[in-house]
Amino acid sequence: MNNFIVNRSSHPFNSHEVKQILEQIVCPAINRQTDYDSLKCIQLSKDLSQIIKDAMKLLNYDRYKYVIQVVLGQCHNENLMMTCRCLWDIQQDNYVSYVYSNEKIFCAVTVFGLFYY
Amino acid sequence: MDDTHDTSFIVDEVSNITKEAIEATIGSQSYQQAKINTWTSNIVEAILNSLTKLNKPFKYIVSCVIMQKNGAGLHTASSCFWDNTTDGSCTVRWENKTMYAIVSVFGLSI
Repeated sequence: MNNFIVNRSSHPFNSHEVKQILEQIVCPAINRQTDYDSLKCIQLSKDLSQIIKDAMKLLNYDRYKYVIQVVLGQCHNENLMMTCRCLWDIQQDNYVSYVYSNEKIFCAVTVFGLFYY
Repeated sequence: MDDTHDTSFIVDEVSNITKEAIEATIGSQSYQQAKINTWTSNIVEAILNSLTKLNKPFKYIVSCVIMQKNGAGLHTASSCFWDNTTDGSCTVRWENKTMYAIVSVFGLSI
């Protein structure tokens, strides 16, 4: 019976590295949009989350599960508040949050990395 | 005998917990800039507390977005790299005359 239990990650989640990747993906993608177009933004939010997920897989963190959340909106003098709470292992799990906006569109991306025992 | 009931992510159960938390916190309220911080924190903490009481072997991520209704568009998308058989998510959209609330709950088994 295989009872091998892993408690510690050999390659823990590095927030700085992930944040750089997010900047490299999000900034050009948002700047490419000349104006807020709701149909394009529907597709853009889905595409961004898939692209970021694929980039996270390339980072080769061993035994990590990822949740990527992308919030895209029009800058219309509005107020928006985004909060999150997690129940997890503080020593292994972590998250990175990145917000970018230009005059027309804002984008908030959060990547959570959770260790799988 | 179905013993997956105690160890799987049940979307309906989580959806009900989420809706109750939203109703209890902002159900009868209008958008107020000063209170939005407290509201999002309260919603998220209430949901997390209820999820913990379910006593399932899960790690949870609860995220809440509250936005004032002013005509602007908002899109949310999420993608996950996990085990499809054991992990799950639930997103609830709620609105009243002055604001929108979008709450997402992700449950990942350990």
